[in-house]
Amino acid sequence: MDAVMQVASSEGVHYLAGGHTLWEASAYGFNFSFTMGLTKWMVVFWGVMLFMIIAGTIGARKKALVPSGWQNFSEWTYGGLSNFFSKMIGPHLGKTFGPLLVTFFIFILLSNYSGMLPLNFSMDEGTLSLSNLQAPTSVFSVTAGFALIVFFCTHFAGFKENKLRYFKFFVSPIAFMLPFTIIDVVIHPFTLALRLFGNIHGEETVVEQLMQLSVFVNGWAPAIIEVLGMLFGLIQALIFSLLAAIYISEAAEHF
Amino acid sequence: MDVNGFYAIGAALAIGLSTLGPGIGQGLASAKALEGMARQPEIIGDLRTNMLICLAFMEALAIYGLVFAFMLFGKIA
Repeated sequence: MDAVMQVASSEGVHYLAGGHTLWEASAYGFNFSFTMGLTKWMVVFWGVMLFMIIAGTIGARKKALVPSGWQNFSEWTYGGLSNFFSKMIGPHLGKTFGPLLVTFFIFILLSNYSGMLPLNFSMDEGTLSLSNLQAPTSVFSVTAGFALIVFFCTHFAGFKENKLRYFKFFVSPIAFMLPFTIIDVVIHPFTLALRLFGNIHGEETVVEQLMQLSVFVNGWAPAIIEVLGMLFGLIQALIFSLLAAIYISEAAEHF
Repeated sequence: MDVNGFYAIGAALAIGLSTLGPGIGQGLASAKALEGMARQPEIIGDLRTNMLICLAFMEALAIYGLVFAFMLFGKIA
C-alpha cells in the first residue's frame, strides 16, 4: 500500500484496492487529500522495479572476467553513467552517491518509457479495450517521493563532509541571506518534483487528446508525438539526475 | 456568464502566457550554446550538459503555468 497525495489532477483517481481517505483539506478552492490505496501506476511502478531487479541480477550472476552478452551491456551502461556522474561531482562523492544517481537515471527513464506500452487492458461492457499505461512519473506523489530522497541525500552529504560547519552554508556570503537560503532549500526539491511531473503529465495529456482526435487522421497523430515523447523522457531523466548531482555537490563543498 | 468559462479562459491564459518568457529565454540560451559549440568543437560535451541544465531551469517556469492550467482545468464542472 502506498500513500497517494493528489495535488493536481483533472479527474478522480481510480483505486484497484483500498482507497481510504486519511486526511482531506481544501484551500483556495482546491482540494488536497491523502489517501491509502492501490492504484494503476503503482502496479506499473512495481513492474519497472521488477524489470530492473531481474535485469541487474542476470547481469551480475556470472561474473566473467571477459564479459559478454547481457553482462557486457549492463557493465557498459553502469560504467558509462557512473563515470559521467563522477566527473560532475568528483570521485570522492561519486563513490557514495554515484550508484544512487545512476539508479535515478535508469529508473526514471524506464518509468517514462513505460507510459508508451499499450498494455492497459480494461473490460468495458463485455468488450476488451487496450490503451497506453500511465507512467508512474506522471503522478505528483511519485515524483515528490523521488525529490524527498534527493532532499535527504543533499543534507546527509553536507553534514557528512562538513560536520557541524555545514550550518555556515545557510549564512554563506552574509547572515542577511538566511531567509533566502532556507527558501532555496525548500524550493529545490519542490521544483525537481514539479518539473518531472509537469513534463510527463503534460506529454501524456497531449497523447490522450490526440488519441481522441485521431479518429479523423487514422491514428498517426499520437505516433508523431510519441517519438517526441521518447526524446523528452530521456532529457527529463537526465535533467533530474543531473540536478540531483549538482545539489549534492553544492551542499558537500567545504566551508 | 457561466463561471466555467472564466476557468477555461484562466487555464488557457496560464499556459499561454507562461510559455512566452521561457520560449524566448531558451531560444537565446541555445543559440549562444550552439555558437559556442561551432567555435570550439572540443568542448561540445561540457557545453551540452550545461545548456541542458540552463534549459531545465527556464522550462520550470513554463511548467508552473502548466500545473496551474491543469488545476484550473480540473475545476471546470
